Order: sequence, then structure tokens, then C-alpha cells
Amino acid sequence: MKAPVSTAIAIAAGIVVLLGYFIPYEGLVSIRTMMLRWAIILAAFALIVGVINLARVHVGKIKQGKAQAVYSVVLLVSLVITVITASYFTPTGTWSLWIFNNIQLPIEASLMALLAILLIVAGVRLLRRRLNTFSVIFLVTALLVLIGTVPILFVGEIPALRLIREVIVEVPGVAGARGILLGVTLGAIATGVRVLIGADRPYGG
Amino acid sequence: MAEIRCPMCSKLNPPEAAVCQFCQARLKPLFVSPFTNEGNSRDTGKKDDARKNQGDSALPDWLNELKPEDETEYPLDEESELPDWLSESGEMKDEQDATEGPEQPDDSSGLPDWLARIRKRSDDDQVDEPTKAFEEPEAEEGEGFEDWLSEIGRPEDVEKVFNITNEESPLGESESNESEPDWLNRIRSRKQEVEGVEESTTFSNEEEGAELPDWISEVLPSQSEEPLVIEEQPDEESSDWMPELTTPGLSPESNTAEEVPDWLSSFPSKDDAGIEPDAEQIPDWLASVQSEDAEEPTEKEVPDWLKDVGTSQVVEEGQPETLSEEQVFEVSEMAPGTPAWLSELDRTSGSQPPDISSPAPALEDEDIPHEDESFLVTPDLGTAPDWLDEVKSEDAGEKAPGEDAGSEAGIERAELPSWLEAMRPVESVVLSTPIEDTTTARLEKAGPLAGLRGILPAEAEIARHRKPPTYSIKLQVTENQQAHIALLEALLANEDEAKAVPKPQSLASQAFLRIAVALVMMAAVIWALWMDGSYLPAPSQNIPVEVFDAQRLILGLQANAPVLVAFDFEAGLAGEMEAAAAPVLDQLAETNAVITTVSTSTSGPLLAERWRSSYGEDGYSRFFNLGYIPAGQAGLLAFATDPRAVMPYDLNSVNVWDSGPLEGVTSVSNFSMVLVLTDNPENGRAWIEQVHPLLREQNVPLLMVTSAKAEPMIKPYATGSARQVSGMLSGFTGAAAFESINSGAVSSGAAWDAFGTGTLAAVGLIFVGSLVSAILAAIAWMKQKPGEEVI
Repeated sequence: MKAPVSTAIAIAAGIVVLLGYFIPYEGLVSIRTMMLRWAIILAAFALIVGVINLARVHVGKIKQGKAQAVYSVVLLVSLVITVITASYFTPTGTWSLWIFNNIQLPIEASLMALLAILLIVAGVRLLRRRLNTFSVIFLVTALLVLIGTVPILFVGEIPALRLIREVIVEVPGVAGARGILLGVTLGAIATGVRVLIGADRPYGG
Repeated sequence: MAEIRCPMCSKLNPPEAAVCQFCQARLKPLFVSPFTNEGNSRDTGKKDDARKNQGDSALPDWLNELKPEDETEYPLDEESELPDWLSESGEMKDEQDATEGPEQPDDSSGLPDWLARIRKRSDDDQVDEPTKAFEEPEAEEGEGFEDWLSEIGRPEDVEKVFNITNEESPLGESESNESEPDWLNRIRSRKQEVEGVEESTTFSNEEEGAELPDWISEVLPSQSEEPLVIEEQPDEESSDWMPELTTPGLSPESNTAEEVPDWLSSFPSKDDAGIEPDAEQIPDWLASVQSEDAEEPTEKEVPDWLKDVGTSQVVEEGQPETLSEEQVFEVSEMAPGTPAWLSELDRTSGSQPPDISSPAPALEDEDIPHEDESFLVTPDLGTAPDWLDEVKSEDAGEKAPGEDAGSEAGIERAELPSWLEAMRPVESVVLSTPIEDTTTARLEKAGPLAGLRGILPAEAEIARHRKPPTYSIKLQVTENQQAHIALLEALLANEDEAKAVPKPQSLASQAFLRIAVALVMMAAVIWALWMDGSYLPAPSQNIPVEVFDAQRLILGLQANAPVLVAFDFEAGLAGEMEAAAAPVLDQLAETNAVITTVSTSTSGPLLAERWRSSYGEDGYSRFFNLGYIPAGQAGLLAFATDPRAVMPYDLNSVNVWDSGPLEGVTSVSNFSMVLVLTDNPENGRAWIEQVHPLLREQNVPLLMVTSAKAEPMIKPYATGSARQVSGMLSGFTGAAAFESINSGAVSSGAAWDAFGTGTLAAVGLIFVGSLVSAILAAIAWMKQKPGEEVI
């Protein structure tokens, strides 16, 4: 073990927070709350550190004079403008919201629109690439859920399609989701236990 | 006397019969221990009792089996029926007594002439022989242990005795040298030479006598009255069974008739030695011998086995220990349980009977002549016949007159029986590795080893070099192997041939497809927005229960109720999420709820401001934006536990907790409702797991507005018996259903139409495109040649 001190601190913190869930002792709750506040501060500082690191990396790229350095210049300029605007006009200021509403949000929404187009293209080409039973089942299920989500144009709502959609979403969909949740929960427990016993040390050491 | 039952045919015979009248088997044994008669038993009653108590256990098994239970059935007064020579053998003890004291009568009158002459010679020898070498304490004599028997179990003493007898004979030259065999004369001559040593040896058998087995004492009783005092240390390594078999203070004299087998009891005692044997009871073969002795009683005519007996008796007369030494030698050579008759047979079979004139004296260094230390060499008992041959060869040049006389008399040299010869420990004297005969080996002629044979010839090995043989390198291949070789060559030849690469089938341009799909989708959405005609009706059927619950809970809020709204979705999904959350937020605003917004996403605070700014120029006045909660689930838990401490100020750096509608809020459970707007299932699950436990304590409802993507993951929390999410709306459809419940129509008709039109366009594109793709794939599959792969 390279860093026994950090490992001991991590294990002790995890045990104290875990006991605070199950033992309603005021001392444990206070300690847990204090540690959680420390976590929030550290996470916020980590975010700032991340932003600084991002700027540093792109500065390095600009210094190297590569062909794609222009994108790094755009990123750094945008970062500086946004930070200055939000700092000067507050985050909820007019210019800050303008930047958000007219630059950030349309860009991200466009990415989602492109994603929709790509998903449709993939659905069209699916049977061309892989003509088998599961591909057909996948496509049929997707079409039924989509067509049952909204009323049909000029026709209106078809209760049968709506019912089929609900069955697909609530039975196999929810079943699969529950299975995934159970797996995620078990994985989280196992990960927590490994961290508590020092088997996993994501903090290093 | 009762009739005698033949041991062979079990038929009754008259008591005076010596042989069976029916089968001619001998009815009475030839050899009888001479001390088993009544007159010979001088033991006291006490000793007799002790001997009787231990006699059964001391006797060997074979002798116990022969011993009758009631020995009184065989009275001992039947010596008269024995032949005189056998009676003489039993009188050895009496004769010894005669030499010791005048009270013993001279019983030699009953002996045959030839035995009498032998005895006389022995007496003469005894006169010349120094007898002072042996101490015979009377105290130990009463114990009845012979010294020679005491030597049993002491191998070192036996070796000494044997050495002495081998080197020197204690007997002086006797008158019978001429008539005795040469080997006996040689032994006696050697004994004479070693007498000087014997004079200084003393014996004590105080302790060793107790180690004598009883059966040996019984068989050899003649020496019991003359125990020798052996001054050597008692043998501590004696066998354990020997003390057990003997009782201290017990002499062979204590043997009673009850302990003696019947065949031994039938032998005459010394007291009866003077009784003339009944001529009628003497066996024929003995009668013939006796008659021959009467006519020509010479030593030459005495049989070997009888000669041994006579010799021992002669020696006994002059020096009683002589016989004991012989027996010691015999017993030491043979197994401890070997009976006397076997020892006698061994002696007669030609093995060297050492003529021991002194009983295992304890030799001292000063008593041993230094010039004659060769007698200390331990002889190999197993090679007795060999050394006898050697002695004979050494003495070949000086043949005794008696030997010539014996050979002339036709006495053949004794030979070992095959079975006894097989028992000899030949391995102890035979070399494990035979000596190589080098007489024919190569003789070294040069160098320092010249003249030696068997030298390793180094030069010869070097000179032996020659041209190595030539072997054929032609490979011997069978037909089967040739067939395999041909097959392998064919495979390798096919490997070199290039396979035909299938032509890649031409596909439609992916760019064209993407553009076509995008154009169709954009056309559908734009057409719906441009028409703004509310072509699509609001969903009115199959509305989920959680939508109704959400609507009911919002309507149940009181005015100015603090409601915590979490904007946990990304800006890219703002189109869907804002459309889905707009009906709920509008209804909250209608109820004048105090909306406090937080977010675990960095875009959440701005999205909240974006929503607030949608209410006129000043926005929604009863609104507090606390901003971003870092640290993910940990921060969320901390905020749920103590919101004042985690988020003390809003984005405008105003403390919203000390005054206003949030003055009494100290925990997340103090809010009237918690509404989560999320497009990420993980964020929704974090709120359910970290915040809902606190809300459940105060029965604070938790509502969720999710995207269509997160619906399947969040819906399990909103359904079932243990519902953690009190109400839920998902996507455009949920919002339309919510609006349908509230007002019967969708407020944002253009967006709803665009959503519906775009969804239908996507379904159409996927359906048509998949159909075409399937047909093309089927055609390609039908055109596909065997081995070709469709790319």
C-alpha cells in the first residue's frame, strides 16, 4: 500500500457516512453533514481546476501551431468571454442569458437534432446490413412505440396502438429497466464495499 | 510291569521285549539321560519343588510335548533293562564323583572292556593334567550349573574356548594316540600346548549358571556336579530367555522323574551303573557291537558316533570339564534349542568337534604366550570343516601312526549331511566379489608398471581409432507416408493460389440517404409549424395514472407554498424538456407557489432563469434560483439534509433563507413539493435515493418530469405499491396528457403538431427504408454465390 494514510481516511469517511444513514445518532449525523460539505467544496474546486486544465491544454495546442489550433482559439475565446460576462453581469444577467439562449442552447439542440437524423438513417440501413430476426424485431418495436406515442396525422389517436405502446414500455421496457437498476445497485454496493475495505482506491495510493 | 505299547504300530508287547514283535520297531530309546534315575536325584525337596514349578516353562516345546503328565507311570528303576553301555553313559557323573571323593564307588566293572580301556587312558591323562587351573567351589557346586553351560550365551567366551581348543589341546599325549583318529590327536597335542594358559584361567559360574536353559541341563547332567568357577564378568548381553528358563540355585540334580520324559527316564542312573544289563534286553545291533568289543576291543573298530561318546567319557573321567567344553562348543554352534542328539549327530557327521580340555577359561594377557597369539584369532564356526581340511593338509607331512591305522581300518572320513551342510553360513566366508583371475590378462611390458597384469591399456584405445562406418542416408518411406506427402504437397500448392475476391456490392450513397432523411424530417416539422392548425388532437385515452396524480398534487398546493424545482437537464434537450415541463410549471405559477430552483447540472441554473424570464419582463417574482449543487449525489444529500448550509445564497448572492417565504425552511422536507425535471435517468435516480427518504418522513410529494428517453428507467419508481415518485410526466406525450386533463387541449398546438408530424415522418422513413433495405438484402442474398460475402 503506497498511501496508507489516505486509504485510512477514505475508509473512515465512508464508514462514518454509511453509519450516519442507519444510526440516528446526532454526532454521526453531524460528522456526515460536515464531510458532505467538504465534498461539495472539493467538487466545486475540482470543477474550477478542470476548467483551468482545459484552458491550459488548448493553450498548449495553440503554442504548437497545429492545423486544428483554430478550434482551440475559439474555445479559449469563448471561455474568456463567458467568464468575463458572467462575472461582470452576474450569471443571471441579460448578457449571460443571451449567450446561453442564443449560442449554447441552439448548438446543443442541433446536436440532438442530428442525433435524430442519424438514428433514422441507422434504422433504414439496419436491414440492409444485418438482415436477421432480431433486427426485424428491433425495428418493429421501435416503429410501434413511435407510432403509439403520438396520434396519427389526419387520423387521430388509435387506442390499439396506444395500448401496444404502453404494453411495450411498461412490461418489457420496465422489466429491462428494473434489471438494469438492480445490476447498477449491486454494482454500486460492491464498489462501495471495495472502497470501504481499501480494495479499490480511486483516490490513488 | 505293564506291557509296552509300540510307538509305531501301537500294539502291546511284553515288558521285556526290546523290539516290537509286530513291526520290529525299537521299543526303548537308545540314549537316556543317565541322571534321570532316582539315585541320581540328589536334590532336596525344596529345589525339587522349585524345579518342578519352572520346569515346564523352562523346557522347550518339543520336550514338553514329549513329557507325560504323570511321570510316575514310568518308574525309574528300569535301568536294568538298558544296555550297559547306555548305563555307562549315565554313570559319567558318578565316575566324576569317584575321581573327586573316595566315597564314590568304582563302577567301571560293569563297562565293556573297550570302554574301560578308554576310561583308563583318560584317567592316566587326568593324572598328568594340571587340575589346579580349575576351581571347583563346593558352594557353587550345589547350585548345579555347569560352567560349560554357563558359557552359553557368551559368545566371547565361546570364542576363547574355541580358540584354545583349536590351537592347543590341554590333553597331554595319551596312550591312546595311536588308536585314536589323527584329528583327535592333533587337537590333544594342541591342548597340551595351551595348558599353560589354562592353568591361569579360572572360572566362575556363580551367575552364568543361572542362565543355563533347563533342558540343556537335563540333557547334560554329568557336568552338573562339577561346576566351574568362571571369574569373568557376567554376560550382561545374555538372552533374556535364559534367566527365565533357569532358576538360581537350581541344579540339574533337582530334576525329578516327573520332569523327565519317559524315554529319558528309562536310562540308567549312576547308582545303577554297576548293574549288569540284561543281555536279553540289549538290541541286536548293540549286542553285535558288544560282542565285537569283547573279541577285539580296539579303537579302530569303534564307530564314529560311538567314538565320540567314548571320547567324551574318557575326557570326563580325568577332567570333567572336557565334555562340557565339547558340548559348549556344540551348543554354541547350534541353536539354543538344539537337542543333544542333534549335536551328537552333527559331531559324527564330520564337523570339527573341538577337543576342548578346558572350559572357556578367562584368559589374561600375562597368561597368554606372546609368541603364540594366533590362537586369539576368532575362528569362523561355519568353516569348521574347512579348517579341518587345512589342518589336515598342514599335517600331511607328519601323519600320525594312528591315522594310518585308522585309514587302514577302513574308517572313512566323516562327511557333513547335505542338510547340515546347507545350514552352514557360507555367505560369511565367501567373498561377495570374486577375485578376478589376472593370469591371462595383458602383461605390462614398459613403464613404471612393467610386469603388472591387468593394467588398463591406454595406448591401445588410442590406436584403435578407425574410419567411422558409412551409413546410407536414403530415406526409407513407406507407401502410406508417400500418400501423405502427396496430400500435403497438394495442400501447399493450393495455398499459393489467390482466392477470388468478391465484388463489393454498390450501395446508395450514405450522404444522399442522410440528406434525404434530414430533408424529409425538416419538411415535416416545418410544415407542421407553418400550418399551425392543430392537426393532431390531444391525447385523451389511456392517460397514465401518474399524470393524474401529478395534476392532483399540483392542484392541491396551497398558495405561497414553497416548491423546490430541480432543473437537471441539459440544454440540448431543452426543446423537449421545456415543452414537457411547461404545463406543470405554469400550473405551479398559477397557484402562486414559491419556486426555488436548484440543479445538479451546470446548465440547470441558466435553464431555470430561462424559464423564469419567460414570464414577462420581470419574470416570475416568487422565484429563487439557488444555482448549481456540485459533488453529484453527495452534494444532493447534503443539500437535502441542510439546504441552508449548502446553498446559503442564490445566484444574485442574496440570502433567501433568513427572510421571505423560505424563512422556515431548514430541510428539504420543509418544502411542500419537490419537482424534478430531468432527462437523465441517473439524475432522477439520485433524487429518488438521496432526497426521497427525507421527503417520505413528512409526506412531501416528489414529482418528476422526464424526457421520453428516461421514461422507462424512472417509471418503475412511479408505479407499483411502494411508489417513491408521486406523479410523473414524460416527454411531449405526458405534457399533452397533462394539458388535456387540465383544459382538454394542448396549449402549445404548433409544437405538438410538429412533434407528431416529425414522429410520423421518422416512422415512415424507417418503415420504408427498412422495407427497401430488406428487399435489397434479399436480392443480394439470392444473387450471392457460394463463398461470397455481401459487404
